Amino acid sequence: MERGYKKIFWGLFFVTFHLNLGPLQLLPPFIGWLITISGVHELTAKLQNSSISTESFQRAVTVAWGLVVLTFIGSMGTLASAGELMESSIFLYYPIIVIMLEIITFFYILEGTHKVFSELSFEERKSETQKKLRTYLVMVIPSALIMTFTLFFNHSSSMVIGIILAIIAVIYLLVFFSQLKKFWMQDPLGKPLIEERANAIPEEG
Amino acid sequence: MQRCNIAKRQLLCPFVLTFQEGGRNVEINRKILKVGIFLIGALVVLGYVGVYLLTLEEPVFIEHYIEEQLYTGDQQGPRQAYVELYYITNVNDKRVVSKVDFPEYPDIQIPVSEYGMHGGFTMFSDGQQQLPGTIEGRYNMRTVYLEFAFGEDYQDAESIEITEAIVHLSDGSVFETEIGSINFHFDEPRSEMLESRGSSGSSYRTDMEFIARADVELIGLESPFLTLIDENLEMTINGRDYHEMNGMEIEEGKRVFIQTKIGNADGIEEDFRYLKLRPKLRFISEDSKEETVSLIVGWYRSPEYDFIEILQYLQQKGAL
Repeated sequence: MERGYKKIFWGLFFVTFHLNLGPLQLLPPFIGWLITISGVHELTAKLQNSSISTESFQRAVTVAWGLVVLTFIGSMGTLASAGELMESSIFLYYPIIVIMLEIITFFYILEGTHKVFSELSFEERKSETQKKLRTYLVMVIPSALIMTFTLFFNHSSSMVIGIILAIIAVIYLLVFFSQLKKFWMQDPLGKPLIEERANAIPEEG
Repeated sequence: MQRCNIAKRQLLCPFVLTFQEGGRNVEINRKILKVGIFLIGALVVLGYVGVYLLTLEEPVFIEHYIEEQLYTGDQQGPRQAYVELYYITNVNDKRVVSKVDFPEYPDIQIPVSEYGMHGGFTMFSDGQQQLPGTIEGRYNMRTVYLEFAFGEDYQDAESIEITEAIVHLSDGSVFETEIGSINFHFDEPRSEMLESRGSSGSSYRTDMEFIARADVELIGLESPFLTLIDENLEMTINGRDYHEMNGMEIEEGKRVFIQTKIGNADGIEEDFRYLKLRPKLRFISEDSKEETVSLIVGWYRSPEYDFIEILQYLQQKGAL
């Protein structure tokens, strides 16, 4: 599990912070999303033989593939030949559509995480995951709304507020994924075999 | 607690509560997500509708009413004048004006630039310069700088009045538009009978002083665009409203003190009317000859706008 969350952490990191070498992006966002998808696949693989539902993780993967396609188009758009097309009105809300899909992806990843903790009776972790998800949503949704508004009106000072709020939300999420990674590395029960723990929980009725 | 009572065994109560609270949290988060995504999506759709409705088919030039003074450092050299024209275009319009022709005067060929006369002409631009203009919402208010120069073959420049322009953009597109009226003056009229003693001016207020070297009788003001500014013009001559100046006698050695204030534009149409006037004072001299003297300091009014005002103006012009 820690490998899965580690990959999700780095995936989100590369999606948010990328290095540019002139017009060339060294690690374009779609690579970050591929790393994230690989991380979620690790989680579902771990849960494959257990009774824990992986439905949310699978949904996250589906949405994240949409992000791979979109951000790949976006990366191509940074090349000089397609630059003008990306600056046209059709792509005005491209960043907002990416953020919308990003919110849905992380919602499903955290919902899946919540289910894992719920099924394994990690009550504190379960409740914490929901709280973290809510805090993330409460930050990122207003940020996206502000950015949608300011992209239309070209109001740069409001745009700065939206971007700062979005960065805080992402850092908040990064810290939580880092905690999840550490949790599964330093589980007091000693790297639990999920299958065993899940199977050990008596079924209802 | 009511639900807790439903639990048959008291020992299970904390688990029931935790489970239900957890479930409620999940539901609340789902609702936050759904409402949030719906709101963002709705704003995006509205935004695209707005962009579609507010996009200009072609740039819109505002009205300019300009009296421009031609000057020369050398009496033999060409008479020159710099003129600014304002236009509104879409915020994402990367094109710039590369050439301006005048259908009324096809032989006038002049350099133009959107980067100022010292910022490099667009014909030499490598396309890497920052986009010019002032962005307001979905629009960009641009300025085109024109450098007029009239040689000897244009001794008749005084009679030139430009009202239309054929605008060439850097992508090769061309359109014809009305620009208001640009007039040229060769010389600022001076008079030995009314001698200027000084002037000071700002964008909206000017003070001027003349001294009469002979008995003169003021008749009025002269400017082709006086009617455009009449309602906003507060002007006094020796403390009297300028409308009452006709017949005002100034004795030799007396001063003529003129205070001028141009008030705020009245309405959207006036807000977007660029004015640059060089009015003259008309008077009758001792020998009953009519003369004019320049008021030295011109009157200016540049467009003042925000996004909503640009929208109103474009709607009023039928450009949207």
